[in-house]
Amino acid sequence: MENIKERTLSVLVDNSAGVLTRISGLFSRRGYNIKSLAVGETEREGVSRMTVIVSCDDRALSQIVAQLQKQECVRRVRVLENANQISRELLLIKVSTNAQNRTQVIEIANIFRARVIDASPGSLTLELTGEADKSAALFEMLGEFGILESTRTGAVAVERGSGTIYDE
Amino acid sequence: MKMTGAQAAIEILREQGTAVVFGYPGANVLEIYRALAASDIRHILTSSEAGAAHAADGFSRAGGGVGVCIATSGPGATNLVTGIATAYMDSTPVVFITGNVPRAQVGTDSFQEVDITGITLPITKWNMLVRTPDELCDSLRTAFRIAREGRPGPVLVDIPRDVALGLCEYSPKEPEVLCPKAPSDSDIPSAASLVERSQRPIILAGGGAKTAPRELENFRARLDCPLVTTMMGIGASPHSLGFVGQNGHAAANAALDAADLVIAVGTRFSDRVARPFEDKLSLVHIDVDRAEIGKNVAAAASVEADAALALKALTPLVTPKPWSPPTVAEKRTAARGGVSPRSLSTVRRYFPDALVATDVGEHQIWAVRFIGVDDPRGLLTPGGLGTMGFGLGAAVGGCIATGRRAVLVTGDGSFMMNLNELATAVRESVDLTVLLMRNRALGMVHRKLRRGERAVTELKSQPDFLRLARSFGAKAWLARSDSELERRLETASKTSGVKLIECRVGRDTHIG
Ligand SMILES: Cc1ncc(C[n+]2csc(CCOP(=O)(O)OP(=O)(O)O)c2C)c(N)n1
Ligand SMILES: [Mg+2]
Repeated sequence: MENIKERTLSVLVDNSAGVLTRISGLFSRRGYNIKSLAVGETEREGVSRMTVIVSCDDRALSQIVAQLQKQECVRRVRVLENANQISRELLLIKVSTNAQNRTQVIEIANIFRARVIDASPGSLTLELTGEADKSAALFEMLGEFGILESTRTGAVAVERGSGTIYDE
Repeated sequence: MKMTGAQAAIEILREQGTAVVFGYPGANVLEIYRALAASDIRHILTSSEAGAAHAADGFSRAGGGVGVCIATSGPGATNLVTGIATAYMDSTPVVFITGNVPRAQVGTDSFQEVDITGITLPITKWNMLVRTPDELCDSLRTAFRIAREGRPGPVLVDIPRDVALGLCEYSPKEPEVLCPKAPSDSDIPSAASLVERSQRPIILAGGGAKTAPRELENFRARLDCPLVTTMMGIGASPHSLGFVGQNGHAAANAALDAADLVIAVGTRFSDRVARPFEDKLSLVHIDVDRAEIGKNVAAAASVEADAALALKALTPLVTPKPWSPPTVAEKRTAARGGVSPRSLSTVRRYFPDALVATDVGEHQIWAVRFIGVDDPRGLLTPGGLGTMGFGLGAAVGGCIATGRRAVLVTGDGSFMMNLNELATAVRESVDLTVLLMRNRALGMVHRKLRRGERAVTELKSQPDFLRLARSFGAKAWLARSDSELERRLETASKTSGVKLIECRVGRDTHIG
């Protein structure tokens, strides 16, 4: 296998029953591991957009694209170049805090431009938006305080500039 | 026009040109059966849904239309699964219609409920659970379109009982006219120039090439080069040197080896064929399914298009490249007493025009090696999935689609899987000759085991096949030698209806 790296695919799909299973099943069935997946509605009615990140080589990538394009529910597939995309994921993280270390946690949050969205005597919950490595860095910084729980979405991505997935 | 979902479903079948459906009723598909009974569509009741699925597949393979198969929810639907997967692997267009429990019960594990759209997701081109009567007409029309479009394949529409009972608006519509995919302007010249630079090109015709026999012949005649097929491509051309691959003809494999360019038409390079390509051969790959190009074998040039259109565009751009592939002897067959594999070559003497169906095993290899097939729809064999028990149902479907006679070559293992369809064959009065190659073994597996391990593949308690066949209303004869087989074939060819010839074959008989 040559040239294995992370690839971001944007897939426009009909917003109909079973589409998520069909698309994610297609990846697993053919042995491609999804590293991240996010789905949501778009500005167009009945159309959803999936952002899928897979780690694969060039040959597998063109096979994935061809298999996706064969699906009745798929309207468009675009591979986003790593250098030419903006991607974001959302992280919610609940940190164990007490009166002594609370300000310390808030300072770290500020450095990362994370927002405090909930507070209790024993915890702070932070919201962070950014690229995947930013979430990882925040995790590392907060580890010593004790992370009570966390959850993150898959990444969503668009192309830089005025180009869109609708372009030919 | 207002009518019930069931009536609309039958109207759609009629509008799509369906004259025959194969199926098996049950409570959750009853409304559809009522509407079917009131229509002019012929329903063929099989002995099991598995047989119905294979029959609808054989109907489509032999006749070229879309096969239609109906089954009830739960066990009816799950009995279809092997047949659906078989059609999927061999790209046959079949529309499967299943009943399901009423919508309010979906998801509650109610009696005879299964998630058949979930189960068949990876083995259909498309499927759908119809959620409202209003959706029904569109879903069925979409099903027919997708089954036929591009690379054909099976589709499934699951109709809850109350959707079939509910009222919907039906207005007649002509079946969609499909435009075959045309080659792109840039693909054709680069493929043509690769062909022009070759000295020893060869055409490898797969199952997809069988949709374009005329264009294939024009192309071959123009290039004047050797042509071989895959197992699924057998019948694509009367000029074939044979089929390639592990079990293929030595002449075909040798020709492929000697070529410096392969022009592959409509083949997915299954693992049975792909090996010689891994390193050396240069390849022009023509396929309507872009996902097949470069999937198993890298192509130097490719044309993503319908076979007929691609070949038509290429033909005027190439010049004759005649060359003679090496002559090689075919493998010898070791017959240890009884009927020999090679004796199957006499079948054509008595059945020159018959469809040939097979099951899976040694007998299948013998049939495709020794019974010539030079018509694109003449061979019904489950190449991709290798489904034992496919042959009898498929042969019945093929006979019904075409009105032709059929010869089924089956094994004593395979026959036992779906022999219940003898009842269907007899009742429908098809002209079918079953050659039961009785080696008292699961021969193909038997061969792969060592001597001490073989007990499991020996078939020790077998029925009296002659009396069994007669009890279904078939004629039956025994053949213990090649000359006896020939006499039986002659008799069978002069007898109408369903006939079985039990061919006694030595357990260790195989092609060397
Ligand atoms: C449904 C199914 N089960 C199992 C197999 C594995 N299998 C392949 S060939 C074979 C033996 C077939 O025996 P028979 O039909 O008697 O044919 P023979 O090889 O003896 O000619 C078996 C078990 C299969 N292909 N299909
Ligand atoms: Mg056998």
